[in-house]
Amino acid sequence: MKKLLIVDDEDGVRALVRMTLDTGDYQIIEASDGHQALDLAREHRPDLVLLDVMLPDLSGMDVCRKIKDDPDLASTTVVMLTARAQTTDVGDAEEAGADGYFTKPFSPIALTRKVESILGPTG
Amino acid sequence: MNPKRPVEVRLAIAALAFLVAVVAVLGTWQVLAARSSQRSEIEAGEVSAAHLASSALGSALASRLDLLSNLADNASLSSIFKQKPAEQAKIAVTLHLIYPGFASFDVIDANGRLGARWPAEPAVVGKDVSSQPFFANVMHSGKAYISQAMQQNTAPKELVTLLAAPVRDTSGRIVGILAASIPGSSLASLIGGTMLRDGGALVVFDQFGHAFTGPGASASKSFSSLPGVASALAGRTGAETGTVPGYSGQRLVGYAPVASTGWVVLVEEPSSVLSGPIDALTERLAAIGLAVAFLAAGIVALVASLLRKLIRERERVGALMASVGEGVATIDMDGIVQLTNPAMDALTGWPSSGLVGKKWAEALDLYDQHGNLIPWQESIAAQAANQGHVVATTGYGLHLARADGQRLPVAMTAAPLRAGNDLLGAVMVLRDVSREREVDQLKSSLVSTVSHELRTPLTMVQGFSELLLSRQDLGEKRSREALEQIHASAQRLGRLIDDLLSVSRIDSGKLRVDLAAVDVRGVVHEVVKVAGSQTEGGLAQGALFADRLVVEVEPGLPAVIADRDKLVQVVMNLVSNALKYSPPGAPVRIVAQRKRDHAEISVIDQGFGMTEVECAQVFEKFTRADRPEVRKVSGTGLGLYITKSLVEMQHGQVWVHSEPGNGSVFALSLPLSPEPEKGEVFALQGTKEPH
Repeated sequence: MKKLLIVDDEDGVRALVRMTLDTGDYQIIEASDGHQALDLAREHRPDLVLLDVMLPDLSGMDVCRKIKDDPDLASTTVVMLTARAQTTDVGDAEEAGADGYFTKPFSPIALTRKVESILGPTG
Repeated sequence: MNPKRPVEVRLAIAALAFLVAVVAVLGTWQVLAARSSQRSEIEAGEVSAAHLASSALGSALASRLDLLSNLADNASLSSIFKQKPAEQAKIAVTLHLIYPGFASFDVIDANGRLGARWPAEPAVVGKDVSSQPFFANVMHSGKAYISQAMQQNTAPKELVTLLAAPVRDTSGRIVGILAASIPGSSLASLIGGTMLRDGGALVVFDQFGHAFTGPGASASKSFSSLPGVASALAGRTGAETGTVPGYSGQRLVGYAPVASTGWVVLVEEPSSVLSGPIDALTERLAAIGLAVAFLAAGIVALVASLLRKLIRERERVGALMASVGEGVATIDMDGIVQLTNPAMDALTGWPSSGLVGKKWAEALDLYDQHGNLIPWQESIAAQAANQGHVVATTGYGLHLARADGQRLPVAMTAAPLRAGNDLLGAVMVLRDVSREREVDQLKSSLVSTVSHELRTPLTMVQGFSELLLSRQDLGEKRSREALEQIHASAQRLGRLIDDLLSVSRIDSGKLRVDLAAVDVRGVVHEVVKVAGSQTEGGLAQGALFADRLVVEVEPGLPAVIADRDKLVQVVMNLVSNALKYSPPGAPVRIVAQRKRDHAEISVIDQGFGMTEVECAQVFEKFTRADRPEVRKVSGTGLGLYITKSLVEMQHGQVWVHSEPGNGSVFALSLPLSPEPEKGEVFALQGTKEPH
């Protein structure tokens, strides 16, 4: 089963992502800040990290960079989840080594498709 | 003089007055010098006239005396005394015919008997004149003699001088005297061509000071003590001013002794001749001076009025410049600063007018939005000065380096300075836009905060509703959770909109408070009831906040003066914050007690606490502590700003005591009301304290 790490400080957003993707096809892990995200990533080695840009402790970009710099996590796909649809964020995300980005507000259906396209069809 | 007159006008007047004074002093000095030199000239003329007259008179008298001596010293004449009176009279007539220069001839024998007289005067013939001084003198000395002034005892009874000479016989014995008279009135003709000025006179005095001529002529009245007469009698020649008998006022007198007679000649004139012409000159000069002074005064008035106008114009421009709140400076075509106003000096940090005379580009550095120095050629000042366009900056990118090195965001407008078609330079207007820039940044921060705060609940409303609509397999539990999330998000959006509206109404002054007596206990209970009914995270499965709230209201606490709804809002805000910013389960105390004439309501939490700096900023708009534990909690940074504004509108105060890690105490105080709250009597009877 593919592992999925959701990183967002907003409980509601995590709940939404969880409910969207909790179809029994993925193992879902949640983190509410950057440090927790890094700890859980190293512990569970998720296939995909959905990473919020604005975290209380670290910036999402920094978390992404650290994941990409970790040889054990090199194969992890990182998709930035951002409330800002600004081009600077897109550029920053690419620079930080993110594999894609997804802007809020998002459609659960679109998110499902995005995740499926990355992790492969379920079932 | 008007003391308000500007210094330049006063200087101009003083300069002109000084010039007029100098001219007046020089003129006066010239007049005095001319007066003095003219006086000595006139006096010298007077002395020389007196001297000439005395010489002429002396020589004329001497020649007549010689003539008479020669006549008398004739042996043939000595026989006359032996002849009869008729014969003697004939001889007198003959003498007159031969020497017509004398007015009379007397033939007197050695006994002093007057033998004959021409012109014939029978009454005096035979009279003894031996008692007369001339007789004794001639008989005694044997020399010819000129007498003092004598009054003739016969007609025309003139004042005369008598010339007397001894007549000797062949043996040399004096046998008689030949005497001839010269009238005082004809002495002047002896002197001849002495030139006298108008109003002048020539007076001859004898050796005793008797005047021969003039109104004071007399054989008995002596003027020997008169200034000129006394000096001349003492043998001196000179000039003096003084009074002369028979003439009015002060007279200028030239005097000289007449040789061998002891007589005196005075040449006198009114003393006004000394100063007459110079007085006329002085009057003319004074008139010219007065005219010049009037003219100068006129010029002064004109110049002063023009200057005053000019200065007033300059002062008006200065006042205008000084009253302009924005920095204004002008530069010439070379970029040299010509003029600055106080606002410009304050803005640039240069001391008053320190910029004037300096090159604008060298004295003031301007930087663009990237912090790069803008070269002079590219500056808008240069564009305005060189191309004659009005140029203005936009945005808040332009920075001015002040004299102390500090950089200030400024807006700048440069306009060409023209006189007719000539380009003279440029005028720059600089404005400190720090405040505008702050407001702009605040606006950006508002947009950013609000858009984030809006987007997050919106994301959940959209997301969960889409899930509910698209996924039939959610099941009842998940569907309910989705609906709860939507509900909580909608509430959050509602609160945000309420906060924004409150701030907008507070800032625009539209929010009103309705003050009345309010029971604090009732307010606290209402807040606890509402806040307590909410759950952690706003979710059904969350723990009730009511379990965490501890209320301590002092028994018998009087009512306060407040707006009940606003007070509920304020206390609710403080309680919500305390619950939000402290760990789950940690108690929050609400304490209300009396402090002198105020009631104090404190909300005490065991949360993260704040630093001193955070405490100082916590009541400001859009201010949130920049820490992870705070960022974790959603918020706009508006709640405490609204709280503080509402408390102050109710004449209360709000403050905070906090330390990082030790929780916070937010407290507010409101004035006590003398009356209880109306219609809330039951509240005073005491209700059961929750928990």
